Amino acid sequence: MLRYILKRILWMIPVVIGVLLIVFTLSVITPGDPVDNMVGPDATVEAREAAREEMGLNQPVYVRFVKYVWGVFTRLDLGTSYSNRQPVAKEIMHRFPVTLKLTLASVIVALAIALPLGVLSAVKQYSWVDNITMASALFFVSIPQFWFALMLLLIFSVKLQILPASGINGIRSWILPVAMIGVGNVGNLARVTRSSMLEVIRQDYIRTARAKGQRKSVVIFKHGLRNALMPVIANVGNTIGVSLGGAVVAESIFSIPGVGQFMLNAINSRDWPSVQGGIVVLAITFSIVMLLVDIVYTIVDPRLKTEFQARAKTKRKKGAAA
Amino acid sequence: MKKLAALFLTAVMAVGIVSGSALVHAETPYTPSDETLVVAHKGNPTGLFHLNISAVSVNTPISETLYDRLVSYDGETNSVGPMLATEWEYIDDTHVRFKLRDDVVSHAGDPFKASDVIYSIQTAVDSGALGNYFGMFNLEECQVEDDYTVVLATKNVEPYFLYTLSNVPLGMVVQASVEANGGIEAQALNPVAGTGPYKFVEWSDGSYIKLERNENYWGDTPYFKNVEIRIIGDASARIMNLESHDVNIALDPDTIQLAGLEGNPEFTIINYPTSNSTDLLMNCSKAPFNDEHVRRAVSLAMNYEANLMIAASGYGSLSDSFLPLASSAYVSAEDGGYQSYFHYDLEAAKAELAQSAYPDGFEFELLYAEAPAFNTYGEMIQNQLGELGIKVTLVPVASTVFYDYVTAGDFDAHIVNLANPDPAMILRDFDSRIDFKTMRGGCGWVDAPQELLDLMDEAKVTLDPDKSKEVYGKIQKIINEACPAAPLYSPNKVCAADSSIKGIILTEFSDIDFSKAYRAE
Amino acid sequence: MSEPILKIENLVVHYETRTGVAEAVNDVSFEIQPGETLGLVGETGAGKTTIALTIMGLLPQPGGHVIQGKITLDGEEITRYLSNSRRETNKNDKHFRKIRGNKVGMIFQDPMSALNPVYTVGEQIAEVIRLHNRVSRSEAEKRAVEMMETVGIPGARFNNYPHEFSGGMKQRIVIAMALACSPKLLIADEPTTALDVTIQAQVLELMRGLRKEFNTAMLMITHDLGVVADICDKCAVIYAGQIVEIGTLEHIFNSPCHPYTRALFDALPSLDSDVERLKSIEGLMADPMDLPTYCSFYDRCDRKCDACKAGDPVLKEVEPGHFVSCVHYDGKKEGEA
Repeated sequence: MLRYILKRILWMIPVVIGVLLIVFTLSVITPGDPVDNMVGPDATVEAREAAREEMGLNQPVYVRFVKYVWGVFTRLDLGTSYSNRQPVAKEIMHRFPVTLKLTLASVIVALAIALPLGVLSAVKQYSWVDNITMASALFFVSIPQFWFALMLLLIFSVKLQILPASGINGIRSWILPVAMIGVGNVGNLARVTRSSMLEVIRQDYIRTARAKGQRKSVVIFKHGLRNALMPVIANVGNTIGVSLGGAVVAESIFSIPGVGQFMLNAINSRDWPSVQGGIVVLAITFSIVMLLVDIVYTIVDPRLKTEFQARAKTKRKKGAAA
Repeated sequence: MKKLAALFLTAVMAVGIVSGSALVHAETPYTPSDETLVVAHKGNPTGLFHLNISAVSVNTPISETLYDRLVSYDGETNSVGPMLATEWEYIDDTHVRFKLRDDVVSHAGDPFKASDVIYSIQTAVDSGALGNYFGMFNLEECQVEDDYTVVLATKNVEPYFLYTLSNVPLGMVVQASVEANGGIEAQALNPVAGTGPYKFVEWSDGSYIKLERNENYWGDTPYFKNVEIRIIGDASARIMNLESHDVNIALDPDTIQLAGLEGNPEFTIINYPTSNSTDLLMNCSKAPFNDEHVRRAVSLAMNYEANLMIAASGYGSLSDSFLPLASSAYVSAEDGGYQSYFHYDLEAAKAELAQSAYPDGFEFELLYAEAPAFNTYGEMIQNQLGELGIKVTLVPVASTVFYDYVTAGDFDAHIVNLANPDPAMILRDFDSRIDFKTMRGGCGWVDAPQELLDLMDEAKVTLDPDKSKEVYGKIQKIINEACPAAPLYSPNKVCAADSSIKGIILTEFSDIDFSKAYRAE
Repeated sequence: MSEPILKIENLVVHYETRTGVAEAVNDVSFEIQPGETLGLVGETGAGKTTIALTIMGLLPQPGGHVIQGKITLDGEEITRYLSNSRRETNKNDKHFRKIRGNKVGMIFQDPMSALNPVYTVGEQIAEVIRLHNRVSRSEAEKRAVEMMETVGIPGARFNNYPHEFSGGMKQRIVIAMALACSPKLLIADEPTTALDVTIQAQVLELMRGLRKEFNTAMLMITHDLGVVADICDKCAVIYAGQIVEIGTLEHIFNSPCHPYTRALFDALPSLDSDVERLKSIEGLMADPMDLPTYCSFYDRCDRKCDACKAGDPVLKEVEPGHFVSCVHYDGKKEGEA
């Protein structure tokens, strides 16, 4: 298992390089001279050239790319921001916890609501509970996050004035952003839980458990849910990815100092090192999330663990034979 | 005429008034409180020190309160008044002597002296940023005469020199404080060298900036003890934060959303006319806009009033000249004795088109950088020109790409915001000697009359207000009658605030000044 | 004769589906004495499993309804707990929970899917023990290990997961689970169908042994007459939800009466005959959604006559303990025709 995790972590290196290559290419082909934003459009020619030199923009693209990648892997150096000349790594690291908190909070809240709802819908298939849950799930999955955020503001801050409209002071100010990101996830996860659960409760082992005299609720949550979790877990991985994106919207609307807002600003000012840095950190986060998802898989479903160990064994045997 | 004259008058008056600082202080309408003012602002600043970073509009409202300038700008009278300098005199066309206050200390506690003025300008010039502002100084001839007297020199005659000095990019710093704080780089994150009414307390990146009243301020003590500038990227969200009373002032609202606040006694909309102008620039270097009649026809076919109401909810003003009403050089058609084409007159437009080479209309592409107001203008213009048989293809592009097109002169017509209070800078767009590339825009008016070019050169170096106005009057006659550009509207500077907050000053030169804001029930 | 452990009287079960009502079980009656094994033989869809699920109170919901009839289990009438009213469902389920796994153990057809893949087999056996006995977790685990040993699985494999066992071993675990609380009745629904032939024999052998050891009555549901011959004392042949013939093993095997029963035997390969081809039963089983008002087997019967269409035949005793439902056997045994 340890070897597997190690291997997966090593696999992140090419992933990160690949992501960087794409972002780097985009930054090169996107129109607009980053120097404009470093010194302003009215700067003198000398100042422009000096800035170009300082940021290494006068070097060929491939040299810049190699240098950048080398810096990322050897010194964890994500470059220097064009707009405020601060190290990007530092800038991101003090924003990242906020984004992570926001994302995880919204996913956890979403799961806490979606799992019971999905299970209930599956158990009471075609009942009014099921119909209402699935209709609202579809609704919440479909609504644009941005619009929804403004609606939340309008209702809870402007009209009812019960929740703060911006800032992060205390738990109350987290409610709206978490709700904004989480609500689509609730819809999505509830649907996945329901369909997975529907499949599971038709399985023989559910009947076996009932035939043992187990309570229906225990059968559903102990025997059913754990089996139904697999697709849900796979979805949680993706959901975290999507929520990282949702955090961008939430952060800019609710004035939350996270990586999303940082990247949005950076994109607007063509501050490529900041954009790249943000994407690297998000890509690594996403890779780690996916690794965690795979590890959770093997905990939830012992079949995968055995399969994995068996594969490792045959490989070792092959190695020994060779 | 009145405005430039006022500028000089103020300078003279200042000399007379200033004998003791107590006299300068008008009676304030409030007693300072312990309250906090919360301002919703559109973006995270790139830094808190204006002299070595690019000047972007997100930085301005913060720098405005942290740093004082040598002179202040009074929007009411469109004149320049004392600030750190109490009085000034022109030694000759390019040298001005400033007398400084002797009671000014930086936030770090170091006194502000004449040498700091030179240091501030030197820092700005060294940064290489903002050629418009910092490029005008003749540093070698700037000199300290004594601790509180400094002479500033410009390379050329600069009629707008004092206005420029009142502008935020020329806020002053105290050298000793900069150096004690670890150099100018450190200023961007921890500014202590300014002398403004508010001091920096804390910057939570992307979330808020907290300021605190400068208790040692040389001027009036601000009413609000603390100011929190909250960064809220979305314009709708800023208005909602105001409505929910999370903030007291919402900067840069979408004008369309202000309709919801109009008539609500809880909120006021502060609306200030500027010398900015959103223009339709026609590419006079090629067909069809090399034809004067075509340009006039297009100018006459647009319904300026309706467009302003629809695209900017009426938050702006219309002018009969390419210079907005608020421009100090504006001369009306009546005063200037010229024919204006910048009003809606479909019959006249048809008559002009009939005289052109395209009596049955033509097609052209209208380029603009994507923005809500521009999009609406584009669509309205498309409809209105359709009446003349002119088919307009809209080409909305990203702002960066936009400059690639105009720099290459690759456009038929474009919509652009000309924002410079100095009319000489606006004139550059009509100067055929400056190509698209250098100008990063313009209308390529290659067959502009020589007379115009001569007048432009004269305007640039004319200090005398009466004379200046006369020259600008002649210039407006030539340009307005030839119509290389049609002024769509002059956008106002707008913000929305709690009705109980009074004394918020929006100005063209310094964005927003909330150091004089106070609460009155 | 002592009190039967299971007595079913006139049981009628319908499934309500979107397309109509399926008459799955039609007026079935039989009883099982303590320690006795009844084989319930019939083809797929004949209603065998429905009977088993009805006894367990596990009819698929929504849709499964007991229309009439009475099931008495160990002297207690359990059909009254089958009310379908929503309000009483929980209360009724509580009664059934005491029956399931405790008084009645059940073995399902496919051992591959009958075990929960995410729990160890030990946990799953211990679960049923803890449900019906007030014992500590460790005591339950100890008993589970004993049960595993009883069915021939090393107790050391307590912590293994189902996927680590072969099909036959899984079925042994299912049997261990079903017998863990020493039920009075064991319902085995096609326990060997999914297994290899050699494993089948082992499992049957095991069940035979355990039946004696635990003195458990058994309802053996199968379509395989060989299994019946192997393990049963009595046999009931079911067709389209109705028992068409019931009797002792000797009655059914030595003198099958109903044309369907005979057809089943004809379909079996026989070592001592030279028949080249097995005889199959022509046609399909009557559609339970649309059963005829007369004998359901009429369409496929090789002895059909006009009298068959007169009405639904009823079970008649042709010799003591041997009942047949066919117009050709009107209360007395007919000679070979």
